[in-house]
Amino acid sequence: MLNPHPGLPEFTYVKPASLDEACSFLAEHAGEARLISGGTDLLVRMRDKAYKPAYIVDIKGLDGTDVLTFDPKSGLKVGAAVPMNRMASHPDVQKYYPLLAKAANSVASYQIRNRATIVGNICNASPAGDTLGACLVLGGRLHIYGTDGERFEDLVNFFKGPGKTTLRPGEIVTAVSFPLPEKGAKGAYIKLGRNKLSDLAIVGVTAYGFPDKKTESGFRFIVALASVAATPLMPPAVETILAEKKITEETIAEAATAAMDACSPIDDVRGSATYRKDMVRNLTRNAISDVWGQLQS
Amino acid sequence: MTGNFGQRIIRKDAFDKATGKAKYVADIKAEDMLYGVLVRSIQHAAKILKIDTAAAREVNGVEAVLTSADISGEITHGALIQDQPALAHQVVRHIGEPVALVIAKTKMAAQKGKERVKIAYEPTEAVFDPVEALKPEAPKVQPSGNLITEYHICDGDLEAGFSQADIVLEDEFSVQRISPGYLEPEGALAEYSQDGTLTVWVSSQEPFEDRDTIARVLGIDTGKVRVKSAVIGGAFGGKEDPELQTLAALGAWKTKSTVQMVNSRFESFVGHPKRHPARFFYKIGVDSKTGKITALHAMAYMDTGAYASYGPAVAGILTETLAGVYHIPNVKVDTYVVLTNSPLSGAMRGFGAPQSHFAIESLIDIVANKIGMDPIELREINILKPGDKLFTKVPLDVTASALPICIEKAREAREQMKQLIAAPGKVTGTGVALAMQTMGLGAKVQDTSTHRLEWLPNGNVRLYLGAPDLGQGLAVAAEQMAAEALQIPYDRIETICVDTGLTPNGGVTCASRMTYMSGNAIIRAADALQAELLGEAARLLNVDVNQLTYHKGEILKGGGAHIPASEITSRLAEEGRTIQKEGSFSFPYPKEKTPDHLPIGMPHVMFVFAANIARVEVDLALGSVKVTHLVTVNDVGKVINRLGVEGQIEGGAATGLGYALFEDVALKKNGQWVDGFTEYLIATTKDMPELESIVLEIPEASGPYGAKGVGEIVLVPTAPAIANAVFDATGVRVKQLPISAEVLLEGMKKRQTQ
Repeated sequence: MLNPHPGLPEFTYVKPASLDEACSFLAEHAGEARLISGGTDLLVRMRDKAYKPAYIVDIKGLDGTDVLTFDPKSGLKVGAAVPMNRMASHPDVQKYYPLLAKAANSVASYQIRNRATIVGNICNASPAGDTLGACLVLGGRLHIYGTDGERFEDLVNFFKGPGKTTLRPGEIVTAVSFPLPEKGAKGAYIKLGRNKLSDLAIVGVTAYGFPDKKTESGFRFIVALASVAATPLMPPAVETILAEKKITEETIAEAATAAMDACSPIDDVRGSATYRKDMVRNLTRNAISDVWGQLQS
Repeated sequence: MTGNFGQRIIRKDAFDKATGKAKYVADIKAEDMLYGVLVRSIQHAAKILKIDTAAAREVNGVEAVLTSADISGEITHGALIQDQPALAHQVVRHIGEPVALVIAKTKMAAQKGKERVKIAYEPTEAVFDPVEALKPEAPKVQPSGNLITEYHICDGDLEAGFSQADIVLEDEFSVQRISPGYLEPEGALAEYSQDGTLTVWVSSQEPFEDRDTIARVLGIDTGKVRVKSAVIGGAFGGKEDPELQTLAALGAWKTKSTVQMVNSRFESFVGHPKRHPARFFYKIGVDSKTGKITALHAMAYMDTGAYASYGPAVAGILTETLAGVYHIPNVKVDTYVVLTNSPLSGAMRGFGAPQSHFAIESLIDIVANKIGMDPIELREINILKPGDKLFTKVPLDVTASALPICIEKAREAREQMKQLIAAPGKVTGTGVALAMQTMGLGAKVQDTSTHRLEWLPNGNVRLYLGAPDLGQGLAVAAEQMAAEALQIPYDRIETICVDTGLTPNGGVTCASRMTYMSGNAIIRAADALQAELLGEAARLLNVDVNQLTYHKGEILKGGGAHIPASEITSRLAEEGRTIQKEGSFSFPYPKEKTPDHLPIGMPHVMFVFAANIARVEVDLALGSVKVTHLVTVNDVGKVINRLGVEGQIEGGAATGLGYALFEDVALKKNGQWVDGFTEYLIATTKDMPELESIVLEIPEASGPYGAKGVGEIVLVPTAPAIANAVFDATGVRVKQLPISAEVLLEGMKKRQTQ
């Protein structure tokens, strides 16, 4: 209980006419203004008084933020105001980025996903964010608009801590884009919650693998872990083991143990740190085995 | 049959609820309405040194800030023990206790005012465990001490019983605190009239009790308070608490305005009654050759939180069900109801039976495993039969013949489940639990239900239903029974839901008995209504009443003439008269069934029986439990509305499943309670198993058309059936709820290393 007296605090709602206007407003009111798109995290945190913004700035529909595009050459671009359900049900996403659709569909409940956005999930930078792993392993890149114009940032460099990112005052993430997936790539996302729907991840494991002639094993695997450290974690040791050794049950088990050793989870109501570490190993093993099975079939 | 019993009747309120037209308390708006919000305690236990309301009063829009000092009537209330202050008086005893009430023109102003009420606390030591709270050195929650009720019941000779056993086991179990978790949080709206009366809309199971509590706290005559039921979005026992209706009434009375109050989800978690956590210590003796249980000693410690609420009554049913559905010749039970600084626990669906059944039904499986017997067989050997007496000396009638049928169905279901193969990486198991739930409020407790029927000039019959429909569908069942009693089509009945100014007092909707009570009362009202109709017809037609008979909404006169009732009622309307009749029914406690050696509220003498058979799959790597199949067997006496019965069964299974695996209003390491749905999980559609409902209809002789109550029993066997299935799958016996993946995995690891 962060707030013994819930209820939304007072704020002013701002609907800018353009991205430029939104950026200058945000820059002028740094520290007291927050963006709203789906609002599914923001409003809860405001109710709990974790955030007390004087202004909330609505970016829905601004300059193409509600657009999703796919190009068979350059890949996928998902605007900041595209709800998760819309993205996950898009035929091109289902065909080329099934992992992204799967991760999105594991977030909260259907009703929440009607409002929640993938860019919002990224910008919240919660270590438990369900879509972060998929976005990371798929090579997500952020389109960031600021008072100085547009810049791009690879997602791997974006997270700095729980709720902390490299975003500067006045900057807005307008979209996330993904290159075409590697040829023959397969993915898996396994989320451990206490119930089957609606719980935050106790542990979430994303695994992604594809044939790669440059490695000893002939494959490359990337694993991303949720809810086990201050930021989403991509342990390089896991990648190395699976690149250098022939993929066997033992190799997968070794990689899973490396994943466990790389993380430093916390205790909370959902599970203890010890349990979480155990689960990282077990789920990582399951997720890699799942991808390995898909790669062979 | 005009009541269409046994069919799937769509409720008349379904469309309004599905389309958002139904008016819950929060939807009712009045002109110039004020909003009341509570400043609740942030301390587990503390002295209140000072409440400074000056800054709050200065907030623009704030009309009043009320504290205990503003209460002119009685400052405490309580269903059984008058120990709960409407607003905290000098001390606070749990987080969430209301301390001050801010009333303002807008929600925002009320909110602002609330933030500016300054309360100086001096924290005192708090206690959270019922066993700890009974130790002499424990802090006292109330000056009179922490033990508020104890029950001790003996039957037979315990020592002799244990000496007949060759196996004696001792074991401990514990169950957690859970929230009713209804969709609609608590709310109330109170309107002050110029004539000095109050009208209060409530979301409550007990509008008549609310009226009396409001009058007592305000220090006014009950005649000045009228309480009406709004549409209710679930109650599950949790809405047998008068907190908001009393405080909204206080606010309206003081400001001479209309005041609306609605709890946030957080407030609903910490401010409102929950299911009692409890700890159990059992000793059981069994003759391993015959499987006969020879003796049972059970001790139960219930944590009722900071105030009694319905604790002593919940303890009654918990006590009476500590030995489950078994005929054990030598029994001793000891129950202690203990105050702690937890949020209060009170009435909740099952009312003590879910707690005791988790313990006893787990224990029966432990015994079966110990003596190497099939748990179903052990149950079969020991179940109660018609004619047997419970350890309370209450005899069981023919309705207990449901138990052998439950056993038979359990065998069949388990056989089918055993054919199924576990998914890769998982182990599977099946578990069975039997259960009984009592009906009624218990002996020596006044329990009369009155309802009224009126024949309208348009030919419809209006039912003045004196008890609230909580969302479970009481109104439709009552309408069906009224239609049947009058032999008229169901759609000719229209209902006015409880309004203390308009309807008779139907009593509290609780204790699995309102279909039973209202049905019996309605049958009596219908008989009286028919007689009245015939009498008036005789007068108007100028014939002797003996020449008239009543048939399907018409009056038959000799010579084949039939006159519709509406003709009589419309002629009466011209005279400015109506035909309406009340019917009353009191819950029966026949002398031969009601031993009188027990305290008030005990024993209960009518029972419903059930079985659950669960199949689970446990993930060996994760410890997580998935209930894949659940077969439920419930004896309901007689199905009135099949949709209603099925709804109760499915909802009950979800509640039982959540109790078994997820739900826990736990005290966190940071000293705060789990107080929101982010951390408190209920079973979702995706957690639900494939569910099969077997409904038995063994008629209850005293029931309307044979009907009993299904509202509570449905969830009672679910958690122990799941726990027993988990043991069957893993060999790990989890003796505390909820069964978390972490605890189960730990247990599985331990077993491997042994």
